[in-house]
Amino acid sequence: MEQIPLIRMRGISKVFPENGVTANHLVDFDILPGEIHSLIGENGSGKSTLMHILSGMIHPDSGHIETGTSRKTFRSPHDAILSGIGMVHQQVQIIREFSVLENIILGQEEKDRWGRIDWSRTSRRVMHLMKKYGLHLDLDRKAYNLSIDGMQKLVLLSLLYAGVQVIILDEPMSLFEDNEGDLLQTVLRRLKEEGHSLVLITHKLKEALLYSDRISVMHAGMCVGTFRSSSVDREVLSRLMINGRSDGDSPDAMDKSAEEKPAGTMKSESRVIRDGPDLKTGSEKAASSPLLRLSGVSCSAGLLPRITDVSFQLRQGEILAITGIRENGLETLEQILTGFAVPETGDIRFKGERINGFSIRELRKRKIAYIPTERMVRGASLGSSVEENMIVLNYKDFHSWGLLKKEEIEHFSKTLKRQYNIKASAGDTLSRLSGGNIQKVIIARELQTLPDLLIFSEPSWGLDFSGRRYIQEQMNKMKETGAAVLVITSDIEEALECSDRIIVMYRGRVNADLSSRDLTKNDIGRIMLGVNHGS
Amino acid sequence: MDHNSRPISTLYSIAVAIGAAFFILLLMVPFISTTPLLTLKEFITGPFSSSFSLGNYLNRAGLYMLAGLAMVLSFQGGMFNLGGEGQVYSGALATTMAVLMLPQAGGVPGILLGMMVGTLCGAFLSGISGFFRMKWNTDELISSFLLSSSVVYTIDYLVSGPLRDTERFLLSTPEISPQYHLPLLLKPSHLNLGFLLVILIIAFIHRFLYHSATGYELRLNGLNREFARYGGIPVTRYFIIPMALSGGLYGLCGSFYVLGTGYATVQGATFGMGWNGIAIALIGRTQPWLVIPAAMIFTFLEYGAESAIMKADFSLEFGIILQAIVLFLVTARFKRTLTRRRITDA
Repeated sequence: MEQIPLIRMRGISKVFPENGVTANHLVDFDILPGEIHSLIGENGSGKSTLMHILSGMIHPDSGHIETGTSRKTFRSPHDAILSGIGMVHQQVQIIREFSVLENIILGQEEKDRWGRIDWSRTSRRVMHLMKKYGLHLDLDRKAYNLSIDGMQKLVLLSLLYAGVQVIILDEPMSLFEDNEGDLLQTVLRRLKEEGHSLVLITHKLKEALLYSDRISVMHAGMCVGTFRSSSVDREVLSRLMINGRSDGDSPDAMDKSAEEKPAGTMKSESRVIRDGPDLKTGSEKAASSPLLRLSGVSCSAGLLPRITDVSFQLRQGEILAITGIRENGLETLEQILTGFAVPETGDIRFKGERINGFSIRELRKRKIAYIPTERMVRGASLGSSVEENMIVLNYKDFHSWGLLKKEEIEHFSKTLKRQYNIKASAGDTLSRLSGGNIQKVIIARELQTLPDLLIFSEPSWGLDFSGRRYIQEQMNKMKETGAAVLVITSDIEEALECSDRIIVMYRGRVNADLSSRDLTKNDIGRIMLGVNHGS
Repeated sequence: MDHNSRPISTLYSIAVAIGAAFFILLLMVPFISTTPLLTLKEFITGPFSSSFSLGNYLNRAGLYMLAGLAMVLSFQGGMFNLGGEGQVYSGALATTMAVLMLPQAGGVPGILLGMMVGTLCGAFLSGISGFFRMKWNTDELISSFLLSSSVVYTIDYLVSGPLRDTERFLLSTPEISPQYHLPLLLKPSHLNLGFLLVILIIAFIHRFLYHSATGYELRLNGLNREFARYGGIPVTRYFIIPMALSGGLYGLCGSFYVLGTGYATVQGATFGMGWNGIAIALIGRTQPWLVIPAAMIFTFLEYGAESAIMKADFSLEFGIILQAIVLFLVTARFKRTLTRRRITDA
């Protein structure tokens, strides 16, 4: 039986006037009542644009949206919400100084007859929603205290509060953490049971298959197919994502894609390394002096989750992943290691030198590179040009007599753009680039300094197959040259895939320090939840 | 990597704003004036009616360009210098006093000294607010305003009391001697060498902001301080530098006024430059070169209104309303980005 779609998008086209990129070309897209529909595709394939159009953020050049029987024009996200369509973005807009509750009801305050906000009724309603969907937040907290996934929950709650029927989630898997069971799955199920339709924008094929009823694939601005997830072959989807065709002639790309290789790949990589001339074998490595050593590091000040007595070592030519559920100390560790927070006790040594309380400036001089979780705020200046973002670490190389040499900067950034396949024209403001390309700008900039240690937080956030593969290659290259990588990630699979060794944080402590080759996702999952590991 | 906003579209939107303002002027004049045609004629041709008017028009525009440029530096560095009034005034007084105290010496060294003293004085005043911001996170917007207000009253007192030249009818310091006057370019108007110096300074500041390493650091700090810190760029000093540079240019504005136009510090004579600097920087989208058209337009509205008041029955208030309309139309977009910047900064 054919269901009648709740929402029909027909012939949607959009060309961005700033750079002439065709983001969507004659896209048709349907959402059925009560379905979970994944929209997958590589970076820049147009999936975000399509959903921004549906949620009223962007106006299409042509095409239209029908809800039920009427055609709609959304002039703003507010219009879309009034028609029952809302979107949870990766980068959430909230009012930081307001409490969680105030943020949730923003714009939809219930007033009594004197025009005052009826707080008790409001908070009762929100509490009810939280209970119903299993989304728990402290309503009185100021919003700036929230972690990123807390903010996502907040936005989701505010959409539910507005009575939105269709919810679009942008890359929810990287944001809703595995928190005592699978929160995302629970939330999705609850939402579905309550009759909501959901669109998940994602590039993670596995999750798309796991969570959704139907899957649509975007490639180069076009929708190249919609499938029932129960009856579709994963290979077909991958090929569609990569080539736009299901009879793909590039099996090569498939084999190498990050999705297709579990922990095994790293083992083969380490074998390659052992053949290298300068590098020591696994057992010898243990003997070499550590590049980075933390002993007894504690920090409980400030708003960050506390960490207690953290000790570990990182050797040259090693990739160490620190994983755990958010709020268990990962972010604190990230801040401490990069000079944005100072530990109260303990010792951090880099190449034997004590670096407690060093500023990021001093750390960078010692060849430590850092790619932060908050890429768009800390890792990049969205209002500056691509070039200005690229030269931030080495702009002094381009100046003579106080002036910056324009030609050399252009040459440098052109080289980086080519090397890292960054799609941007000269002089583009960074905010004009797609999310994936912004990431690449950041990564390119950090890696071109040839660091001895790279601190890399949440490497695969917002990246697709080829992007992830690319990052893995880069990390392996660093390894080969004897540099080390410290990956901080809340994604177990990523930790397993990319690293030689894994440290699991639980309630601010190191709960396990293990070689990644004899671990499974379930092992780590248990450790992350505090079930103690034998060793 | 020259500009973030596109100059062409910026000029276009300024032109639209000006066009709208004139349209409103055309609509309103018949209602507010009994001699609408004369009023319009005076308004539009006033500044160009004689070489005297033209020279004075350009002279005032030049001072406003410099004041606008001062605010451009402050905005580009992500700081809000609200103390322009006091900085111009103190720059003027410092220049006057320095030159008066000088034994009868050559003109050029005296002029240079006067300009230097005025600049330093403004830079110091404004730098204090930057320093407080760096040290105790005091909002520079408030501290610069408060400091400037108290300075204005202090100088008012000095000029009308201890430093007053009792021979003159004005509340004013004694006049500086003629060898320290900046050479006039279009007699009998006040247009003087200062105007050309201002253009040179604009060129220099443009080069500084967009082609120098320090300018790059300053702009990055202005756009995203968190990113600048992360990139290893010095951050703390960029609370002070943009403020001091901005105050310095305001101070220099006071110097130019004394050396080229007023030849003394007259009570209240420099009023308006501090505030108008903000307006001009905003109209010029905080781009150094764009302060030139911005100041020309702004001064034109002001000057046109003045001559229409003098020669026809135009009202001062309406002139101000016209300025406000232009400001309103031009700054709407900028205000948004500035607010956003402040939110991410917090």
